Amino acid sequence: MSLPTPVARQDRRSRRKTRSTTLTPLFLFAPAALVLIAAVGYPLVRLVISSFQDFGLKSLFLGETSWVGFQNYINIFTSDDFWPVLLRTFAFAGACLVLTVGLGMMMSELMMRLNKPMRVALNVVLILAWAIPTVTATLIWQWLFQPPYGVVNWLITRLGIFGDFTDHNWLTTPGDAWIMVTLLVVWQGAPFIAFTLYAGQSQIPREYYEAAMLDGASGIKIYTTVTFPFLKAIIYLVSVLTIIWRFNIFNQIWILTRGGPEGGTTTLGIWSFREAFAGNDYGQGAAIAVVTAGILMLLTAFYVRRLVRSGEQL
Amino acid sequence: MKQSRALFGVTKRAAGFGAAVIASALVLSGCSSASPDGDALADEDRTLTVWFMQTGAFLDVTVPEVNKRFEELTGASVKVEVQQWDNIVTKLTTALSSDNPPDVVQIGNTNIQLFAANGAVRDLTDVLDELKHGVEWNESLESPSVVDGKVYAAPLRVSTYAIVYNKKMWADAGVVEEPETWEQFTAALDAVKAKNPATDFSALYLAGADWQSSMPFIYDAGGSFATLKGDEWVADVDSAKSIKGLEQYKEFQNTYSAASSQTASSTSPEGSSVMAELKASASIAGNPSVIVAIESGNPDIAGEIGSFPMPSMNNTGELAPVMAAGSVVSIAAKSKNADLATEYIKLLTSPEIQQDFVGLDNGAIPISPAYIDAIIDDVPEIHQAFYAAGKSGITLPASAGWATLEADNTLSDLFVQIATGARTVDEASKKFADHLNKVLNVG
Repeated sequence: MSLPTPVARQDRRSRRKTRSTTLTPLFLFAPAALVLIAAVGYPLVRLVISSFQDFGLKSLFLGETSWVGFQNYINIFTSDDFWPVLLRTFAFAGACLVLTVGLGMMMSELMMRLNKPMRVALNVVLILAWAIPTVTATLIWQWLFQPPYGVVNWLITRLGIFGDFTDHNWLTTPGDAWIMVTLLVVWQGAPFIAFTLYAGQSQIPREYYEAAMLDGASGIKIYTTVTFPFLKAIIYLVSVLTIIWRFNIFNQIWILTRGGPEGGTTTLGIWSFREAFAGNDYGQGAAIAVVTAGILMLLTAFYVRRLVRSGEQL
Repeated sequence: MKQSRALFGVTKRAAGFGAAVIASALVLSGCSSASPDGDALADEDRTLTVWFMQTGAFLDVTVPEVNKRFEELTGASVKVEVQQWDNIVTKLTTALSSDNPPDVVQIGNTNIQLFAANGAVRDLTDVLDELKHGVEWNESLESPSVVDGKVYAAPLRVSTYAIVYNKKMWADAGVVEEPETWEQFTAALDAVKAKNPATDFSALYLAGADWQSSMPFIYDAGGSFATLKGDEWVADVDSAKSIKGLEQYKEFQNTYSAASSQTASSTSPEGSSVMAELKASASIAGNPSVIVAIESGNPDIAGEIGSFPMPSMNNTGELAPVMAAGSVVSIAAKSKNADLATEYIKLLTSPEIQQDFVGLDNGAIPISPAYIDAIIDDVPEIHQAFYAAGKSGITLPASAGWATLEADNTLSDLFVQIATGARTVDEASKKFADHLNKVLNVG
C-alpha cells in the first residue's frame, strides 16, 4: 500500500471537511426532528390512517377495526352538511380576517400617534384582552350576553335604538350566535395584530414621513404610500395566520353555541368533533380533519412558497 | 489528524445523545412494565379510583360513608374524582380507553348502553348475586345495563321528577292547596304569575335545554321518541300524538317560564338556584335532594319548599309520566383493581347504604322497591311526592345510539328550537326524527 501523495491527502482532508460540515447540522437538527416526529408526525400519521378505517368505540375497547377505503371521505362529500359547513367556515374566517386585521391596523396607527401615557394605557388594555385564556374569555362572553342580566342587552336597551333588548336571546338564530362568536374572536385576535403591526410601523424611518409631509400629503395618502408598503409583508403574514387560526377555531364556538342553533354555527372543526366524539365515529371525524388540513394547505401554499423563496435569497 | 478528531467528536456527541434517548426510553418503558400489578400488592397499598358525578349532597353525605366502610373493610384507600355532566360521554370514553382508567365509574342510565355494548365496562354477571343483596333492582336502571343477557352495571340511585314550589309565594298569590289536577295546577301558576309580573320571574322555571324535564309532555300526550319495530328503531317523535305533546310543552314553557329560560341549559343556572334567588316560584326537580339545594342556597326560605307530583295534562285524575332516570355504577374493563371495585359497588348497593345514606340522608331514591318499602314510613313528607311520581316511569329507547343524541346536543336543541319558536313543532320534530332514525340504528 503506497502512501498517499500530499496532494491526495489535501484532497481527502477537504472532502472530510465537507462531510463534517454537512453532518454537523444534521446532528444539531436531530433532537428537534425526533421531538417533531414524535409529537407532530405520529398523531398526523395516525389521523390519516384512522380516516380510512371504521374506527369507533369497538376499536377503542375491543380492538375491532376494519378498513373502509375511501368510505369516510365519500360520506363527507355526499353529506348534506358538507357545503353549508364549508361555506360557513370560509365566511367566518373571511369576516374575522377583515375585521381583525382592519382593527389591528387602526390600533397600531393609533399607538403611533398617541402620547406616551395613553399609549401605555392602550397597551395594557390590549395585553389584558390578549392574555385572558380563551376558555375564560368565552365564559365571560357568555355572561355578557346572558339574558336578562347580561351587560350587552342592558347596554343595547339603554341606547334606545333597537328597543327593549333585555330578554333578547343570542342563541335563538344562527345570525345572532355568529355576531356573538365573531365579536369574541375579533376582540381576542386584534391585540396580536396591533402589536405586530406596531412593531413593524415603529421601524419605518421618520424621514419618509417628513418627506411625504413636505410634499403636502394627507394622513390617508401618507398611510397608503409610506406606511402600507412597509407593512405589507407583516400584514400578509398576520393575514395568513389569522386565516389558519380562524379556520380551525373550536373552543369559542363549542363553549358558546355547541355548533347550534340547529347546526347554524357548525364549522369544519366543530363538525369533525361532533362526528368523532358525539357520534363516536373517530374515523369519520379524522377524515373531516384531513380534508380541513388539505383545504388549509391549498390556501396557504402560496404563502409557504413565498416564504421558501425569500429564505433562499437570504 | 485534528480534523478527524473533530469529526469523531461530533459522532461521539451524537452517539452520546442517541444513548441518552435510548436509555431514557428504557427507563420510561421500565417504569410502566414495573408498574404495580393489582394482585401483587397488599390491599393496604392499593388505591381505588372512583368517578362520581357532580350531584350535591350525595357527595357530602353518601360517598364519605361508603369510603369509610370500604377502607375499614379492605384496608385499601379510595380516591374520588368528581366529574361535571358537560361532555361526560367524551370524558368517560377517553378515561375508560386509557391504560390507567378510573376503576369505578358512575354513568347515567341513558348512556350505559353505549359503554356496555362496546366493551368499555366489565361484565358483572358472575358477581351479580353478591351485588343484588337478595333484592330486585329498579327495572329502568337495570334494563339499560343489560346487553345480550349480560349485566354490565349496578344501579346507584334513582331520579324521578316532581314539582317543587315555594309555599310562601304560592300562599301570597292565594294558592293554599296543592294542586291535584292539571286545571288546578295551571290555575295556581296563573295566580302566581299575576302576582309577580316581573319579566325575569318564572311561575315555573323550565330551562329550554332541560330535555329530561320536558320530554314527559310527549309521553303524556300518548307519543314517544321512537318505537322498536322488529330490529329497527322507528322515530315516533313526529307522530300526531308526539306533536300534540310538543305543542303543549311549548305553550306551557312559554306561559310560565321567563323568556330568558328558553335557551338556558339545564345546569347553568340550576332550577334550584333560580328558586333560591326567588326568581321562580316552582321548578321541575329530578330528585328530593333539590329541596336541600334550594334551602341551602337561601336559608331564609328553609322549610318553605313543598313538593307534589305533576298532574297529567291529558289524562284527568292521573299523574304525568316522568322520565325514569338515575345513575348506574360499573367497573372499567381495563381496571387493574376489579376485585376491589366489586367490593366497592357491593357496598354502594347494600341495604344500609341505600336506605340510610342514599334514601333518608341524601334524599335520593333507593335502587330497589324492597329498599323503598323498608324506609317509606320514615321518608319526610316533602319527599313523598317523588316516590309517588316514580311509579309511572318512562323508559327511553334502549339503544347504544341514544348517547349520541345527548352528546351532539340535538336532543336539547329540539326543545330549545320549539321553546324559542325558531322552528315550528312540525319542522323541528321532523328534522329530529330523521336524525333519530339514523343514530338509534347505528351498530
